Order: sequence, then structure tokens, then C-alpha cells
Amino acid sequence: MVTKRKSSRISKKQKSYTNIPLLRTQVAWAMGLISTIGGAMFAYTWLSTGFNLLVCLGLMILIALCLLTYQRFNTYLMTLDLVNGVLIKANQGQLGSRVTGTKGLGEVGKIAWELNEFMDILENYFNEVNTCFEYAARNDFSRPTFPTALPGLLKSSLEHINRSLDAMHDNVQFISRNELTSKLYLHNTEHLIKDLQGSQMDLNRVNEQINQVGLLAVENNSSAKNTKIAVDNISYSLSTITDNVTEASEVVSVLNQDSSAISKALSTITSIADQTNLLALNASIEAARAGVHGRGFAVVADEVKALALRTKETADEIALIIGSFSERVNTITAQAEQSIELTSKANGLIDDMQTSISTLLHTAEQTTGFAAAAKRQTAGSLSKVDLIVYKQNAYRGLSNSEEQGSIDLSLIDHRDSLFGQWYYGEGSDTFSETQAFAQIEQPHINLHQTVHQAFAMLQQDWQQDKSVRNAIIDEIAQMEQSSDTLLQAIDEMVLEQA
Amino acid sequence: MRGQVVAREEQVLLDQDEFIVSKTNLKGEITYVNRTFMEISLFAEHQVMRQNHNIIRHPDMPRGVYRMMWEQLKQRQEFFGYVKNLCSDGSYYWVFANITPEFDEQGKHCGFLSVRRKPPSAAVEVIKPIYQKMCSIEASTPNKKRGEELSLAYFEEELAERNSLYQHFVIDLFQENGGAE
Repeated sequence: MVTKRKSSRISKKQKSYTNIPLLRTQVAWAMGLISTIGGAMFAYTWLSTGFNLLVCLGLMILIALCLLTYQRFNTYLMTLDLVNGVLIKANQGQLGSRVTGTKGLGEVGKIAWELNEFMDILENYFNEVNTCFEYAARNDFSRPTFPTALPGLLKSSLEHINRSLDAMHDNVQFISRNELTSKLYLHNTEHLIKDLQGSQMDLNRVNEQINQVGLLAVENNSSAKNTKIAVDNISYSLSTITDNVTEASEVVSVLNQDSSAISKALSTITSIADQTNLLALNASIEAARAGVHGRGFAVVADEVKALALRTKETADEIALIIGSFSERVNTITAQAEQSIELTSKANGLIDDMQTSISTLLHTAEQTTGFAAAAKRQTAGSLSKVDLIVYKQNAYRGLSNSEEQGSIDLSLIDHRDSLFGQWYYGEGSDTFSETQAFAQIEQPHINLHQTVHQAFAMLQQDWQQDKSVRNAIIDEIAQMEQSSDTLLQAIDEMVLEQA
Repeated sequence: MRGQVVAREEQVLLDQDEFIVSKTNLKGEITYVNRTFMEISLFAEHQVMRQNHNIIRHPDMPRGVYRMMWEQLKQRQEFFGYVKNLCSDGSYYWVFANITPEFDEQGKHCGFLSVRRKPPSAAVEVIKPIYQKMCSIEASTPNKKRGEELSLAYFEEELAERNSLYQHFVIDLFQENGGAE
């Protein structure tokens, strides 16, 4: 562009040189003509009236005046040439030239000075503009222009440029800040999603573990119940044994009494036998004294004596047997007493055991309750994280069309999303009886709808059309609203079930 | 010419609607001055043409400032500075000078252009004590070059204290005090 402009200027310049006769040539011709006419007049007077010194002198003065005029004129013309040169250079975009040494040149000198100062102003104006934009091109806005001392339009032009520079500076700062924020946001979401996915996995693991705890608690509960039954059985058997032993002990003591009664009866029999023996001895003495008459009686007395002897022997034998029987009964009694003592001790132990098993049973039931509550809580948290991850993917997909994975996840049907799968599956099993559970479905459908609509708008010319961008932002605001409702309902649902 | 003028305590003020323009060749010899230059400095055109620009240098100006200026100009960068200049009658005037390298039509470096505006008096009051201290540092250092280095080092300290760079400092002084008053 610059070269084109330059060439057009040159052609104009050449044109002016070819078409207009130069002032200097005109003056030279005029002076030449005056000198020639003077010379001709002098030649004529010389030829007609003879040589006239006065006329010759006049001619000399005329020629000298012509030369002087031409020379003086030439000085003006040289200055005008310089002025012309400055203007030609200015036309070519060179503002550096000035005209100097014009003292005493009158109007021409004044023109030269006005031109110089006009060039000063122009050069300074363009210097200011060029320099500040050179700085601005390097993102340096510390160099303003200096409008002071410049006249009228140029001053206000520099003032406008200064304001524009300030605006550019603000813009650059704004753009950089924007760029920074969006980059930060990108980093943030990238990490947020990763973090949330980590939490999701953690929660899943916790959920699984709580399931295990629940199962264990249920198992504990039933085994505690079984143990209680077994202990009850043992306790029952033990009390039966105690009863039996007590009964047996009573029978033995009766036997003991009976055996001592027998012993008494036996000692009576023994003393009767002894007296009988003594009576038989007396009878045989009396029979001997009676002689022959007493012979038969003596035989009877002998028989009675022998009978008494045998009775005594038998009674002694029985007493011996009863004695050892009684000894054994005593042993049995002692053993029975020991047995009763042991059994009652065992009963005490069993009682303690029963108490601790009841406690165990109670805590196992509580554990089962806590585990179930924890499971509901984590299920609620997990479902919330699912929703947050869904939203983050939507944000990511909306802000970067290259995030195909996030876009696919955002465009999923509400039933197929992680939250949907939970809601219509496992979540329904746990929470379907709560009131809040029913209130979850609609906001969840809305959440997906707003995201789908926002992505549909991305197909329109959002880069140019601000209303499309605003509409997308509106959809996202609605998405956040649905999300708030949804998250609140989940909290209520978890509370309600507890 | 230089040294003939004896400085005296009389300040002349530049009009805020005017600026002084002067040009030099690469050697620092004056090739052009505008009428404002002549009016304020009381030098006639023929007195300054082909003279070195330091003809108007005031003894109160530290050499370090000119050294800094030449270093900037050598790198083809513009220089801003508050300068106390000498008139031919020994009086002085303060200017806010902007000196830039000039290039001819072939793009060859051919000289320097200096445009000087009226500085805000508040800015001059800030710069004066710094220049005084620089001058006293230079005066107390026998080695000329070393003195310039030391006085510039002092200026750098002052800038560091204000947490600023030289050009930002001088431009801010001009802008913050409302440009020319």
C-alpha cells in the first residue's frame, strides 16, 4: 500500500514538472528579455545618434539590476525549492526534513517557518502514535501519548488514543483474566470429575463393606439366638440333674435310717439269742439234775442252745453286712452333696452366660440397625455424587467440543444414567416407601432435559449469536435449580427412611 | 561557545501550548531548532547550528542522566527525562524531554529528534533532590566514568525504593501531576 501511494505521488510530481513552466525559467526569460530590449534600445540609439555614455551607463545599471533581481529571486526560489523538497518528502511519508537559514527572507521565510512548525507538530504526532502502538503491540501499555502542546484535532486525537490504549489495556487484562479463569476452570473440572469419581469408587467400596457388615450382623444375630437356645437346653438339663441327685440323696438318707433301725433290731435279736443261750444252759443244768426224767428235756435244751448260737451268728453276720452298707450309703450321701454343690455352681455360670448372650443378641440387633442406616446414608451420598459427576461432565462437554466422552455421558437418557440405574433399581428396593422417593423422579428428568437442550443449542451459531449463549446459560441455570431440588429430596429421603 | 555562559538563578517558564523541537546529526550537532527554542533560550539560529547540543547543558544536570540517555538511544530506544537547560543569558528552564532516534528514507539512522514539553512543577520538585544528590556524588568522585556509574546506581536505588522502573517513573510523574499545568 505504501509503495502504491508513493508511486502515485511520484507520477503527480513528474506531471507538475512537465506541465508547469518553472518560475526560475520565467524570471530568467523576463530578465533576459528586459536586458535584450535594453541592449537593443542602446544599439538603436548608438546607431542613430552615436555612442551615448549616459545611455550606456543606464544599460549597465539595467543589466546589473536584472542580474541582482535574478539572484535575489533565486535565493527566494532556492528557499521555495527547499520548502518544495520538504513537502515532497512529506508526501512520501518522510516528516524529518526542515528548512533552515531563512533569516531575512520575508514572506518566504515566514512560510518556511510555518512549514517547519507544521512538520514539527506532524512528526511529533506520528512519533507519539507510532511509539505508543509499538509498545502496545508488545502488550506494554505504560507509554501513553502526550497530547499537550499539540493543536486542536491532533491533541484531541492523541487524547482519544490514550483513552483507547486504556481500554485496550483493560481489554488485554480482561482477556488474560478470562483466559486464565477458563484454563483454571478446565483444570478444576478435569480434577473435580476425577476426584468425584474417586469418591464414587470409595463410596461404592464403603457401601459394599457396609453390606458385609450388615450380613455379618444378621449372621451374628441368628448365631446368638442359636447359642441362647443351646444354653437354655443345658440349663434345663442341669436343673433336671440337680433334682435327680437331690431325690437320690433323699432315698439314700431314708435307707440310712432304715439300716440303723435294722441294726437296732439285730442287737435286740443278739441279746435275745444270748438270753436264750443262757436259759438253755440253765435248762440243761436242771435237766441233768432231774436225771433220766430230764434227759429228753436236756436234748431240747441243747437244741435251743444251738439255735440261739446260730441266731447270734446270723445276727452278727447281718450286722457286719449292714455296717458296710451304711458306710457305702454315707459315701453316696457325701458324693451327692458334692454333686449338688457343683451343679448349683454350674447353674450360676450358665445364668451369667445367659445374661451375656442376651446382651450380645441386643447389640447384634443394634449393629444390624446401624449398618442398615449407614447403608442408606452411603447410598444417598453415592447417588448424589453420581448426579454431581453428571453435571460436571455436562459443564466440560459444553465448554469444550473435543471432550467427546463427557458429551456422550451428558446426552444419556435419564433412566440409563448411573443415578437412573440406581433409582429404578437398588434405590427403589430401599427407599420406595418414603414420600421423598417419589419426588425425585421429576427433577431428575428435568435435569437431563435441560442438559440435552443446552447441547442442542450448541449446534446453533452460538459464537456469533449472544442470545444463543444466553439461552444455554439459562438452561444450565435451570439444570442447577433441578439439581438443588433433587439433592434436597435425596437428603429428605435418607432422613425419612431412618 | 560553551562555558562562556554563566548560569544564574533565574527560571524561565515554557508555555504549556508550545514545545521545543531540536534535531541533531549522529555526532550530536544541532541541525534544526524551532522558534520556541530560540525564543526561550535566547539563542539565534546561526549561534546554535552545527554546534553540539550540550551548548544548552546546565551545570546542575548530572552527567549520569545523559549517560543513561545515550545508552537508551544506542539501543534505538526513545528516552524520557526531566532536563534543566541553560539559556544564553544564564537563566534556565525545565523541560520534560522525549528524545528519539531519526531515520532517513532508506531507514538509516541519521540523527536524533528531541521534543520538549513543559513539565508539571510537582514533578520537577520530585526530581530536583535526586539530581542534586547525583551531582554531589559525581563531584566527589575523581574518576568521571566511575562518578556517573555511582550516581546512576543511586538513581536505581531511589527507583527500587519506589518500586518502579526509570521510564515508568518519569512518565507517571508527568501523568499523575496532570501533564503540563
